[in-house]
Order: sequence, then structure tokens, then C-alpha cells
Amino acid sequence: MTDIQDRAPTVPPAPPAPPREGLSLSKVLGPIHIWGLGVGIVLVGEYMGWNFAVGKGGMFGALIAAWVVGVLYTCVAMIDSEVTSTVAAAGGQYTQAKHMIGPLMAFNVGLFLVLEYTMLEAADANVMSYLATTVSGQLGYHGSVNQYAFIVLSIMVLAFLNYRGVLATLSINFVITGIAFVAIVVLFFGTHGFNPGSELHFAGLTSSHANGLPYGWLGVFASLQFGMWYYLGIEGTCQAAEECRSAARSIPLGTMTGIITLLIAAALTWFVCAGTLPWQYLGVSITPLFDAALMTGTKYLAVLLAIGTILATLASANGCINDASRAWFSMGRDNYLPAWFGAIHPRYRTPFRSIVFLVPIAIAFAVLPVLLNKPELLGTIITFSILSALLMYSFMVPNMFRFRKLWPIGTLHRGYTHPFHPLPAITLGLIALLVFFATFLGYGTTLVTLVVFYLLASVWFVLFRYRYVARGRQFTMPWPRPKGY
Amino acid sequence: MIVHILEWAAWIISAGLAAWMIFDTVKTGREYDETFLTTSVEGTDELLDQTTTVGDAR
Repeated sequence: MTDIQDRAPTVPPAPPAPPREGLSLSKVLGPIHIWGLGVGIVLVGEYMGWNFAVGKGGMFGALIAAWVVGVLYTCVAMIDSEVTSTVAAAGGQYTQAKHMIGPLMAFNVGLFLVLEYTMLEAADANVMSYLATTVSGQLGYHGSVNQYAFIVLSIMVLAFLNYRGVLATLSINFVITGIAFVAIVVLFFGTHGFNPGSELHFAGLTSSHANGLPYGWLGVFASLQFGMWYYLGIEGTCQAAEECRSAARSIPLGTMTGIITLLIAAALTWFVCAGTLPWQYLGVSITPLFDAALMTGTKYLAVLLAIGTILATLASANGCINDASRAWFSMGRDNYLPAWFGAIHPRYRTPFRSIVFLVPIAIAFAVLPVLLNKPELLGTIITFSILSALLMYSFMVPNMFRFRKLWPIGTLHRGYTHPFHPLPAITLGLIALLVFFATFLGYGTTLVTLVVFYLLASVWFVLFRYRYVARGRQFTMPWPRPKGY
Repeated sequence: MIVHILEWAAWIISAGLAAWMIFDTVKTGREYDETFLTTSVEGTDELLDQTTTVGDAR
């Protein structure tokens, strides 16, 4: 080896690459950041929210919802992993729609994304203010707490973090999400979940039909809507594709390990809560995992789960700011929105204007339930998020079919190829339809309002905005010519 | 009492962060040319360097 090196002619070092003239987002992320982003957005759903499924369908209803919706999200993760490992661009599903279907669909998908994450961020900030009130109560203060102050603070701190750079933002998300996940695992071991019957009690579930499935199969159907909480947001990993060192490796690895983590977290959460709390209480609890920890009577578990609840909420809001701003930025870059939003900060390499622009919108929706003194509005805000996500999943079905049709296997490098096509796409479509109908029964007015909003936005886009769209940027991927064209 | 101090601290920190972000956004817009700030191109990845038909990389 040394001989070869000695005999090799001296090759002058290559000249340094000329500096790029344009700006680009920082390509600094790896699989752990993608995991932290995807799981971080979602894990708060394990700490609170999933249990409303218990109120609708009982313990077994919530379990069936976790399974059925888990299949939906596994399909979402598989499809996103394949397509995004190829379409390595900020905007995720918006960019996919632009390449695979067309501008109007892309505009709508972009709006679905922004609304999904901004509404979720607003809900997270609202919950943070609730947690601040709860913590002050636990510390012995029983006066009124100014919720506005803590809503605004949580959004501002996270927006600032996002403004200053994606690497620190998602590294922090990885750490705090990891702690929140470990807290659930510790609770499982702390309650001797590996030895059912010692501390967890399930006899009541099977002894009476009224305990396990109090509202029968109709209740199971109704609980599907809240089963979304176990996994809602894992598809957000796609938004970071342009900032990955290698999207082809990081997106599939981060997304697939993310959905596996969430399936485990959902199973552990249901199991521990089902063995600790009666379903009648669980169905209306605000912080079910924390309540389960309190029931054990072990102080360290209660403190750990309280910390986990706060960290999971922060991680979710943090990831939502990241994702909403990338979607908004991408639409600005292509002139779907004013090009002003498509700017990148020359120092921090973040879509800074999109981040700043979305802050007041998130704050407005977060303070609305407090301002109007209607806590139930929080449910409506979250339903906006869930329905926007469902609309996006519906788009993913034709998108996947077109992707495989236009660029069949073998014509395009894929970082990941999901198995059994078209089964995942068909399954996704069917379950999404089922959840849509279940949501319509519970929140019909909200669904109709949202559809009308998107229709009006589409009319605005066609009449007033499409003329400005940068048509030359519709197909930016240097892919081979699609089959049939 | 401590809660009131925390509330005020929350407002002051929030106002400071908001002021800094707005100031920096305006300053950046003035310091740099708009065409430079909006020059980014989507999807620069090693997989995208493929102008010919290639095999599947499973």
C-alpha cells in the first residue's frame, strides 16, 4: 500500500469549489434530527388527547382506534419515505403535489400543511399556559395566572430558536423528545407493566361489556377521530428534506424509526392507563399519563411525567413552527404566495420571514379560547389541524399512484422503496375516508367550514395568484422524462 | 407574588425576543439585495444528479 502511494504521481490538490452565488438552507440534519422532528410533533398526543377516544368508545374502542389509525400512519410513513427520499425539497408534500399533480393541488396541499401545523402549534401553546396554571397550583399558588403571558412566551422562545438555525432547533427537539419518550417507558416499568396484575389491573375491562366497549361498535367508530392523536404529525419529517445532509438516507430512516417509536409509545400509554385509571375518568382527563403516574403514589414518577408532559408540548410546538414555516417559505419561493416569503437569512440559513410572519397567527389562535372564555374552542382548533391533515392524506393516494406510474421502479433513484404497492396507498385512502366520516359525525360544521375556506382560497389562487406563479420552477428535479411524456 | 414576577418576566422576555426578530428581519432586508435573499433553489441532493435512466437503488 505504501509502495503504491510512493509511486503514485503527485496530484495537485483540487482547487476549492467556487462559492455559491445564491443562498440555500443549511444541509446539516441527520436521521436523529428527523426522528426528533417527527416524533417531537406527535408525542404530546400520547401525553394528552388520545384519551378522548376512551370517552367515545371505551378502553377497547381506544385500543382499536390506536391499531386502525396506526395502520393509516404506517402507510403515510412508508409512502412519504419513498417519495420524499426522491423529492428532497422543503415543502414536503406541497413539492410532491407540484411535481406529480399540478399547481392548484400544490397550493391546496401547501395550505393544508400550514394550517395543520400552525393550529397544532396554537393548541400546544394554549396547553402550555394550562400546564403553567397547574404547576403553580401544585406549588401552592391558587390565585389566577395570566395565561396570555405564558402562551406568548412559549411561542416567542421557540420562534426565536427556529429563527437562529435549524441544527440547534432540531437537536434540542431530539433531546427533549427523547426524555419525554423515556418517561413513558419508565412509567411502564415503574408500574410493573411487565407483570400485569401486580400494579396494573385489567379485571374490570373484561368483566363487563359496559367497561370495555360501553357504546358498542358505534363508539369504536366515533373514537377513530381521536385515535389520530397517537400519531398526528409524523408526516412532518418531509419538511426537513432540503436541510438533510442526505435526504435519501435520513428521511426514510428518521420517519420509519419515528413511526415505530410512536406505535410502541401508543401501546405503552394505552396499557398503563387502562390498568391504572377507570375509563369514565380517563375519557375526560386533560393529562392522562401524568394522572396515571399520580395514581402510583410514587413521587419520582409523578415528577418525571410532569416534566415529560411539558417537554412533549414544547417539542410539538417547536416542530410545528419548523414545518409550517418551511411550507410557507416553499410556496413563497415558487410565487404561490408573495416572493418576499421565499427569502433565506444569509447568516442563519433559515426561512426567517416565514417564521416571523406565522408567529402572530399562532398567537391569535392560541389566545382565542382564553380571550372568549370558551375552552371548548381548543377542540375546534385541534379539529382544524386534524382535518387539514386528513385532506392531505387523501391527496397522498393519487400522488403515490402517479409517482409510480410516471417514474416506475428502475427509472429513478429512490432512497427507499416501500413494499406491496398499491396496498399501502389503497389502505391509506380507505382508512382516511373512514376517519373523515367519523369526524364529520362529531365536527360536521367544522369540516364544512374548512372545506368552504379551502374552496374560496382555491378560487382566489386561480383568479388572482396563478398569473404570478413561477412556472419555470414547477419541475425543478433533474429527473428523467416521465413515462408516457 | 412569585407568579406575578414570572408573568412580568414572561412578558419582558417575549417583548425582547419579538423586538429582536423584527429588528433583525428589517436590518437583513436593508443590508442585502432582495434578489440575493430569494435565490435559493429547492432540492439539491446527491440523488437529484440523475439526468439519465438509472437502476433502482434499494
